This record gives sequence, C-alpha cells and structure tokens, in this order.
Amino acid sequence: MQTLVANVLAQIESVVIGKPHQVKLALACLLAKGHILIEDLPGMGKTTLANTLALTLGLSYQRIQFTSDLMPSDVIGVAIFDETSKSFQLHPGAIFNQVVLADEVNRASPKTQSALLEAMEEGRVSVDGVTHELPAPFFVIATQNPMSHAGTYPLPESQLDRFMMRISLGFPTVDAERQILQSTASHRDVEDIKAFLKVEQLREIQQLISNVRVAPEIVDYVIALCRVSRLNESKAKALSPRAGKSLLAAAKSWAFIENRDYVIPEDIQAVFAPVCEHRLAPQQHHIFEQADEISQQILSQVDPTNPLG
Amino acid sequence: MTKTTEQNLKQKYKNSTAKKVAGKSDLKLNSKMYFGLLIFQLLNLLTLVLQFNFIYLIFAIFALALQFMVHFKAFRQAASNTNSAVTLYASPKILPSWIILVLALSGSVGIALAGQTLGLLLSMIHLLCFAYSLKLFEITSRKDLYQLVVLGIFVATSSLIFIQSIYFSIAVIVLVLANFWILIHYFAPTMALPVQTKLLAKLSLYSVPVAIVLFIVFPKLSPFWQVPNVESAKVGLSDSVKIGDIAQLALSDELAFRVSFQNNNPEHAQLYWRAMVLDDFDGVTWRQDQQEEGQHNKQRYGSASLSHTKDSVDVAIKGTGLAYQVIAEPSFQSWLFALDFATSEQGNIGQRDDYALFYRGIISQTLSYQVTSYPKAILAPNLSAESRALNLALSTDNNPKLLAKAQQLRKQYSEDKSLINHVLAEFNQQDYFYTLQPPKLNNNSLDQFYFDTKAGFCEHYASTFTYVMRAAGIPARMVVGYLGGELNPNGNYLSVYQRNAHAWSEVWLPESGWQRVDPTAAVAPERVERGFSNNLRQEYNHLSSGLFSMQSLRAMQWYQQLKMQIDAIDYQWTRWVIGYTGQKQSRVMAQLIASLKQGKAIGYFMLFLIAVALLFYFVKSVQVKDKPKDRIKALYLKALALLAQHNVVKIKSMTAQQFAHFVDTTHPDLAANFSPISKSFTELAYQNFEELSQQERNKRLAEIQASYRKLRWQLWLNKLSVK
Repeated sequence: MQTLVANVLAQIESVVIGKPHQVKLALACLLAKGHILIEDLPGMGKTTLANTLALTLGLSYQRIQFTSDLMPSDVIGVAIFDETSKSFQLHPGAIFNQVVLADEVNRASPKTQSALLEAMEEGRVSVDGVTHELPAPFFVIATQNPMSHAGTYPLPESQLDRFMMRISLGFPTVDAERQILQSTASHRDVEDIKAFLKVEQLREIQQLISNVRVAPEIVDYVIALCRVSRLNESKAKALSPRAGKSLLAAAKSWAFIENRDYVIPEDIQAVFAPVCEHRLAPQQHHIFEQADEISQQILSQVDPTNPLG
Repeated sequence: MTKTTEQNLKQKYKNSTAKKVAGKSDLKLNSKMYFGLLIFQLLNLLTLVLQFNFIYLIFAIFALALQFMVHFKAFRQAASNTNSAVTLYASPKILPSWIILVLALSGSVGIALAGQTLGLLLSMIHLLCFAYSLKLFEITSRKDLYQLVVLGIFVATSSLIFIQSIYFSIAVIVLVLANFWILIHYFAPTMALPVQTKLLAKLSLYSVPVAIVLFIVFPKLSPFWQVPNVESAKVGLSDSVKIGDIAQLALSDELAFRVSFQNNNPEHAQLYWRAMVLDDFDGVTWRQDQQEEGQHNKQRYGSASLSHTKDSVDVAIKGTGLAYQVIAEPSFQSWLFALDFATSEQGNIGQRDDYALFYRGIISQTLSYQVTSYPKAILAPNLSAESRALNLALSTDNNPKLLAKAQQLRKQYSEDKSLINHVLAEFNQQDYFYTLQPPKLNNNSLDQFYFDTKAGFCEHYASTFTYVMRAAGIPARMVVGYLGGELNPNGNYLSVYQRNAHAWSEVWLPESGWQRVDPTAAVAPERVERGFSNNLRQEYNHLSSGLFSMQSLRAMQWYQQLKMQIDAIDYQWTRWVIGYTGQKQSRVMAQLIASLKQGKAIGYFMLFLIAVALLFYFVKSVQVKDKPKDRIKALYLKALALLAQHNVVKIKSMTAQQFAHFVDTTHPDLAANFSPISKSFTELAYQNFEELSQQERNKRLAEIQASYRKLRWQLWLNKLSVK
C-alpha cells in the first residue's frame, strides 16, 4: 500500500513542481478524510494541485467556479418535475461527485458558501425535504484568494473549522520556476494523469491509517499543545477538542505516508501549522512568510519529550 | 523529514547557538535588576561597616557610586530618547580588564601591608570585601552574577563574627534571604513574585533540618584569629577604680551578663558577683597588686577546678554547691563573674588567688561558662604573711584625718568585729546618704567625703571603709563586681546590667577568713536588697533627661512586658545558639554516647528510625509530583538535564529524535552514550509503548542506566579537561 501512496505522491509532484511538502500535506489531508483549503494568490498552482489530486486518486471529479452570483442550487442541484414519472426528480449539482473542487470559494455569497459547507459537514444534502446521500469518499478541495482582494466574502470561523487543513503554496524556488517556465506544455493535459488508486484501495488505505497507533505520550503532546493555545494571551483563538482530533487524524495519515504504523512527535509538528493555524488565526492570511507564526509559537512552548511535565 | 522542516530546524539551531555566544560574552541586565545589584552590594557591605578601614570604605563607596552614575546617566538618556516601553539594558562591565587587574593587585598589596595593624581576621575580611567590590566590575555572564551574589551572602554572614545580638542576627538572616531571592530573580526573571517567594520559602524550609544537624554535629573549632579589641571603649568595669567611676555605669542599661541557676534562685542580697579584687591603694586609685599595664603576675593565676582548690590551703570548702550557667557579654577584658566561692571545670577558665575567675583570653564574643559556687566556704582560713602585708599596706599622706580616726578607733576597740560594727553603725546613724550624684571631691580625698560631704555611693563607702580597716590594722581589700540582677520570669534567669555594678569590702578575720562587708548596705539597705531603687532612678531622670523622659515610657506596663519577652528570646538565642561552643558540643556528644550506653539506645534508635522514615516520606512526597511514572522517560529527562548543565541544551520544541540528531552533529563525542538513551526512549514512548513486558523494560532500563553513567562520567571529564 505504501508504494502505491509513494507513486501517487510522485505523480502529483511531477505536475505540481517544487512543492513536495504542500503536496504531501494535501494528500495526507485527503487520506485522513479531511477537506482542504488552499489559499494563495492567483496563478500559484492551486487549481493544478486540486485537479491533479482528484485525478490521481481516481475519483469522480467536478470543479465549481465560485462567483458572486452562484446560487446554492447550482452547487447542490435542483428538483425538477419530470413529466414521464410525474414526480420531482433531483438534477444533481456539482457536489454529487467524490472530489469537488470549489475554486475561489470566498467569491461566492455567504448563502452559497454555507450550502457547500453544510454538505461537507454532513455528507448529505436535502433538496425540497428529500435527503440525498453524497458519494462515499467525499472530498472538498477549496481554494481561496487572500481576503484583501476585492469582491470576496470571508469564510466565517465556524466554516473554516470544517477544513482539516489550510495550506498555501507560496512562490516557487528559482529552480522550480525555471522548470515551470521552460516546460513546453502550457498546461499539462489532464488526460496524461493516470488514476493510481481504485476506490477500494483508497478505502483500504483509510482503514490502515485509522489503525496507526498513537502512544499516550503523543496524546499528551496534543493535549499540551491545545492547552497552551488556550493559555495564550495573544489574540489567537483557542484550539477546540475537534481541532485536537483533526490534528491526531492528520498526524496518523502523515505517519502512514512516512511509512510508519505509529505516530511520533515529528508527525504532529509537521501537520500542526496547516491543521491549526486557520483555527488559531482565522482572519490572518496565510501568504508568504510568517504565515504560521502563532503555530510556531505554540509549538515552541511545549516540550514533546515531556509534554505535560 | 522533509527538506523544509530540516531547514527550519537548522535555522533554529543556528539562532540558538548565536544567542548562546552572545549571552556568554556580554550579559545585559535591565535597569531594575542592575540597581538591585548595587543596592544589595551596599546592604551587604553595611553589615561590616564598623570593621572597615577608612580607605577601603571610601573605595567601596566610590566603586558603587561609579557604577551608579555611569548607568543612571545612560538609563536616563535612553529613556528620554526612545520614549518607548522597550526595556533598557546595561552591562556592569564598564572598566577594561587591565584596570581591574591593576586595581586587584594594588589592593591586595595594600591589604597585605596593612595586615600588621589590621590583624589576620580583618585583613581577610578586607580582602573578601575588596574582591566583592571589584567583582561588580567583572559581571559578564550569568556565572559571574551567581558568584557575586554568593560572595555577597558570604560578606553579610561574616559580619556575625563581630556582632551576635539577636536583632543583628535576624537582620543578617533577612538580608541573606533577600540575597537568595534576588538570585532567584536573576535566574528566573519571568517567574511571578509570589512564585519566587514561595520557591525561596520552600528551599529555606528544606535547608533548615540540614542546618540544624550541621549546627549540632559539625566540629566547632576555636577561631585561629584573635578578634581585635575593637570595642575597648565599651562601658563596663575597669581594672582600676577611682572614686566616681561606677556612677558612670549606674546609668547604663547595657547588659553585662546573664545567669541561670540550676535549682532555686538565691536571694537578691546574696548575689555579690565577684569580678575582681583591688588590693593596692595609692591614696587615690585602687588597682590590682603587681600589675603593670597589660602585664599579669603569673603566680597569682591558677586553676579553677574543684579538685585543685580542694588541695589548696587557701580555701576550705563547706556546704553544698550552687550550680549555674553564666553567659557573659563581650567585655574585651578577661575577668569573669561568679558568686563566692566559685569553681569551674572548664579548661579555659582559671582562678586568681583572690578568688576571682578569669578567662584565658579576651572575651570578645559572648562567653558561656558553667560555675559551681560554695557560699559557705571559708576563704583563706590562714592568711599568708605576704598577703597580710599586702592587704595592710597604706598610703598615709593623702587622708590624714581618716588615719587618725582609725588609730583612735583601734585604741577604743580591741576586737576587730566591734570595730567593724562601730564604723558601719556610724555610716548608718550619722547623716551619710546614698546618692549617685555626689558633690565633687578635691583630689579624691576620702577625708573630705567622710567628714564633710557625707554623700556618695558604693565606691565611696567601700573605699573609705577599706581604708579605715587597713589603718586600724585589719587586713582589708576592695572587691568590684555586680550586685543582684533582674529576674526575667519568662525565662527564669537573671539579667545583670552595667547599672548593677557595685563595690564592697572584704576584711580578713581570724578563723572566719575573708568576710564580705558591704558598707553601702549600712547606708542604703534597699540598694542591696532590691537593687537600684526607683527613687535613685528618678533622681537621674530628672537630672539627665530633657523634654522626653524615658521614665514615662518605662512606667507603661506593656513596654516592660515586651522588653522582658524580647530579652528572654535574646537570652535563649545567646544560650543555645551562640553559647553552643566546642566544649558544649563535646559535652552534648558525650551525653549522647553515655545515654546510649545506659540502654536508652533503643529509644534513640527508634527516634532515628522515625526521623529516617519521615525524611524518606518527605523526599518522596517532594519528588512524586515531578517524576514521571515511566522510569525510562525519567532517565531520559535526567539525561537531558545533565546535558543542559553542560551547555548542551535542548530547545524546548525539539523532539527526541531531533535532539539526538543535534547532539550527533554538534557533539559527536557524546552521541555514543546519549543516543542509546534517546533511542530507547523514543522506541518505548511512541512505538512499543504497549508491547514490551515489564521484564524487558527493566532490562532496557538497566542498559540505558549504564549509558547514563558513562555519559555523566564523560561530561565530567570534559569539564575537567576544558577548564
């Protein structure tokens, strides 16, 4: 299984050049059954990453470009009266896919945003009183522009909390940028991307990840981190138990990708900033440097070898 | 690990090492801490200020003032310039090293040169304080700070060599605690004040049992220095008496000595504390015979032990002994105080042939000694011809009228006793009166006192009486000492003050030996029975006080009570803490051993077991809180602490693996011993946390314990070779 995951990673990295860490985080997030929010300036490869992820995992995939006039029904679908069956039939929206790429999610109106985010939370949608289950592995990859850009509606904290991770890609290094600019194809063809995983395999991986062992020391470490965030006197928000849970889940997934069946503190540290920063500082934006300042501050206050001591 | 995190970590290491280097070369203190340092140096030096040489005092003040001025200016400038809340920092290192070196050398030479006049102890104290002053200019790292504060504590406590009163001791203890507190403050500045105070209280409390045990069992060596006679101007008796001397003492509330009797306290009128006997009268001054300035006639000094005096022909012991302990305040003389006839088994106490006890040395510190007195003993049943001659010697030219009167009395009375009674009756019946403010006498004339002024105090009467006796051919001499004492019911002991100083006469009568005769008792019996009467005190207060009279304060009941209480505490302190000398210690040890032999062993053993159990419980209760249950983790944390002591510090957020890697790269020599500990810890903490059996765990523990010991040994060796 681990070789399979390595292949998946290799393929995505070959498309999204020079961002191995972010790619790995994104994959870890999806393998941990979490939704991901990619935040960056336009043209940094957000969509490319999302596309590649969806295709590589071999899942049904739909992209929704969020705009200010996008309606909830465009996302969820609409019930239309069918002449032949004399009943209302759901015309499913883009959300009835295993992977949904919600591009520029903060440009849609809050109403549409919340329709999407409700679906993310509950795994089902209801249209006209009828509940419809969403397909089984269900991931939302959302991208957003920094808030300072015009025409955006910031996601409220409660909705940000539904994303397991928030990552940003950042500017590429010189080498990576040279490689990007010199590549002949302007866009790598979507057809070139092979689906490496079947749904059953994905399920199996997810099962393996949930079996990754977590030592009491690690749990203590997570508790200590959460507690420190609550003591923090700065304006940062505190980490909820749900945040702690997400942190553990992401760390397990990370450990799996690292080819281990147990979690070590390094795993927690690797995923801490992407998992927690948007919960700690929802309105601070995650661009360029000092992006994960608060997370680093919290990490620096806990001794992983003796977390609660 | 991915590249970026690795880079991050590398950056972190770089930062931390850079910081460490900066910290080593230049320690910065903020203004509060900085001035705290100066103030504490001033306070610590103040405890010794009475002992300092003038030149050193100027140097110390100058050093402090220099530091203060340089930084006061800098802080003020910076404060006005920045106008912000940024904390200001300063380094006390304001002089270049070579100047400090020159100062240190020249100062040491100066102290060495002055050593002749200062004496060993004071030279050492000066050297210590000089180093303390200079160290202030040499603070570059936290280590220096630590040394400075500890040096300060040493300076402050060394002042107890000179002054041992309870008030001063308390002040010094408070100062030492404050020094410790500031040490905590420097090393954990972010700790809140209550937490620091709590820590200090906790540590002090923990150290008390150790201090008590050390106090009791640590060998008390007598000091190898001679404390110089710094307080020679003190009030007290002196070894020659002119008429009018004791009146000065009568005003003094200063403590002379304290006594606690083993059984019942004798009556006030029995408490004639002999200090010294003056047998040589030149017409004006009474002094000890054959004693030049500071020279003692060796033949007159002997042992004070009972066995020695039993063989002696000078004394016939009768009746039962009266045992008591005397604690003498420093008098910078060597005579001691005791009731007649006194014996003492202490080797450092001797007895003169006139029955006065003396100390073999100068009483420069509070001295406690044990005495057994035999009030019924006959002193000198047979008077030697030599002694008789000495005690009849008379300077005839100064007081002719008195001499004539004595000779006339001799003719009148053939019996010595009736002659004595006649003189005493005259004192009693004629209009002699007792006053501490007698009219001035020309040339200390006894004639003038006896025939004209007829007003005086103990010295006048004793002096006159002794003179008359000698003139009449009865061997007589003057005894100086103290009379009475004030009972403190809180501690059941007597305090004898300088104002209790007294003088009386001794006459030698055949068969009954030396007899005490107190002519003052004939004039003012209440002086003898109750000590100083209130009337006399009032007389003084009227004369000597202006607007504010202490008398009104004295009258207050509570003030008296409080004074008694404080005095009782001071007494216990002096008796048990300061009086705990080497001899007493060996006595305590001897008693302990003796009682062990007497079969009390089981009791003591039980006590010991209980003490050990309590200690064990105590240590355990202290440790349990901090110690993780997992012993491997505990050992790992111990190894971390050990490394941190040797400047291999784990950044808090580093994981075990990251730190092991860090040690690998920066201290490859330590890695061999540290990495097994780290590996075992990570494996057991994260990977095999549920699978390993207790047995395997123990085995693993033993392995890494060996590694730990090796690591400790290695670090120790490194430290030795580096320095």
